[in-house]
Amino acid sequence: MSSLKDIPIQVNHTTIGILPLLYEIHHALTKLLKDHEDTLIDLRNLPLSSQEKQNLLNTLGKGEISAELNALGRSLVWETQFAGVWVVEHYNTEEVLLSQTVEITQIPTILKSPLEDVQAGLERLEEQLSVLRLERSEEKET
Amino acid sequence: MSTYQTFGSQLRNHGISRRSFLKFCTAMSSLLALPPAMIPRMVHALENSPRQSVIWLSFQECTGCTESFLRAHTSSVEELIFDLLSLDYHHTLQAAAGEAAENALAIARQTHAGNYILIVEGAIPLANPGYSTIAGTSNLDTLTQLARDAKAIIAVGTCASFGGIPHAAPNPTGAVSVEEIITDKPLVNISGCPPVPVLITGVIVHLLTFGQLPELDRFKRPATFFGSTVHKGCYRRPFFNDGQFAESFDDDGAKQGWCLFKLGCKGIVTNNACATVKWNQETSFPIQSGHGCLGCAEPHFWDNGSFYQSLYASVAKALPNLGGGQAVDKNGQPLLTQTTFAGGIAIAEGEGNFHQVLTVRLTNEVNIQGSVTVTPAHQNQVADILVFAAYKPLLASLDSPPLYFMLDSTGNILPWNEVPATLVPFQQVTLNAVTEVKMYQGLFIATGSLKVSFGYRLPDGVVVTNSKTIDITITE
Repeated sequence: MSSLKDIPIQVNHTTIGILPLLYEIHHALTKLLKDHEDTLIDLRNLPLSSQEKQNLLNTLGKGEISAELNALGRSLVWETQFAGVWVVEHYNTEEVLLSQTVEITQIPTILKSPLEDVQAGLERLEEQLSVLRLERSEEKET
Repeated sequence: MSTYQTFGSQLRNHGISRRSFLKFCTAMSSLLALPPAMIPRMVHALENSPRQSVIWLSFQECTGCTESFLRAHTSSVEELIFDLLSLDYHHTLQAAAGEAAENALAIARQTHAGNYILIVEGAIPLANPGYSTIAGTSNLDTLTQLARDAKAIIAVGTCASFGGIPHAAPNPTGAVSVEEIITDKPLVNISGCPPVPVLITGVIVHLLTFGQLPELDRFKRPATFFGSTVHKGCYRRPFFNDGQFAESFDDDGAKQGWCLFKLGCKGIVTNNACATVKWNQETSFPIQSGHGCLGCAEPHFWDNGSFYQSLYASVAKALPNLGGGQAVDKNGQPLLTQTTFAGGIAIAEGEGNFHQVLTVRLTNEVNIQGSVTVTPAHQNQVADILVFAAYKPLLASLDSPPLYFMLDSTGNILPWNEVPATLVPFQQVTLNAVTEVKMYQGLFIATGSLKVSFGYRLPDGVVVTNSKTIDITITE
């Protein structure tokens, strides 16, 4: 036995099961279509066994879109086989899972460009443009 | 160490994107078990909060709590918490020493009067002020002076929360907790020896987001983290439910990762987040490393002792007295007996105490246990241990007759016709002067009232049982 992972623990017990969660996702999708309202389900705070969590992820599957972000560690985002149902996982730089959520939305917030960052980007672009304009006018003069 | 920037501006100055900040808030929200809808509120509150001034006092302690706190935040997202705080005084961590350090404390106190968070590590000696001083001032004086202008107080570790090791018998320094001295300030205890580090930051984030301390339990600990037992979140719990226990630290059960309850694990009566939040970047916690929980987050954990003794073994002496037994011969004729009984039922996840009369729920894991003080004439005989019960559904009328059941050697519940000779053995044992009977451990399967009896049958057919039953009401 050389690591913690080698401890032969097999936990096959179920707790609440994934069926109630699938119904909640169904309800949230209906709400998204009808009222355009997003829902976020925090998997870490549900009393699911690791096996049940895996069953849920297997049931949701993977759809057409997946993305990887690098913001103080990796974040993995993918749309499941059910359009509008996303899984978002945040890790720190040591690959420890910080949060795992199912988001029922058209696009998860973390993927949208935040307006503050857009503003900062715009300012940086304007700075570069002014430098380029300056260089251009200097070239013309010479 | 102090600055007056908001947390948001501090992050932007460090080139940290808003996405990273959102990630931090999502992780903290998950840790604090807040509804996901609170994330935008947390983002807004933290971004616009000034850096929080913190004064950290160290009294009678080993600095383990500080060590724990520092080890928590070594990577990326969690590091942001350090940008959130302005640690204005911590005599172990600060670079300044002597008068410069004490001046920093005076400036922080004056500048942030009414707004700083006071974190206290360690117990306070009352027997003699000279037992523990900082810069010539007793711990008691330092605490009472600084508490006066604090926004809130966080007692970190079991010493500050409950007195801890310094308070343990014979408590030579008269050590007490913070709560025993300061009674007029918002106070939260984050117990543990040491406490799970991220709980400290979680409480601070909650305070900054909502402007108040989180909901507390009866020991003033944050209910989010201390609302559940270590046992409930333990990955070895299925082995407990199935009755699979390690009997020694190197037996096959231990190697298979079975439950450590019989080796003294106190996870059932200890409220803490060790099993879910874990330690060292969520790598492990004591039970995962093969050692039972010591119950270090509970008051008087050191004096309670019995670190390597099963909880049930240690409380067996406290079984309720059921008095003298009743005996009949093989023909059902009454006999006199000197045998006495004790026994009761305990809710496994409750305080662990046994009761002769108790109401439980179907969802409660229970333990029914008895102890027979066998009359000398019956000792050393091989006897059948018998367990049987009278059952009535909850809605049954008072005068309706009960149904009788008995337990066989495999734990099956069988109907019984009330004839002593037909009772099947639950166990076969050689009767000791005190013979323990562990009758049942687990969940009940139906609501109703149950009167539990137990005892023994000698080879000559004499049956001795308790006359006062263990009375249980089972509700939904």
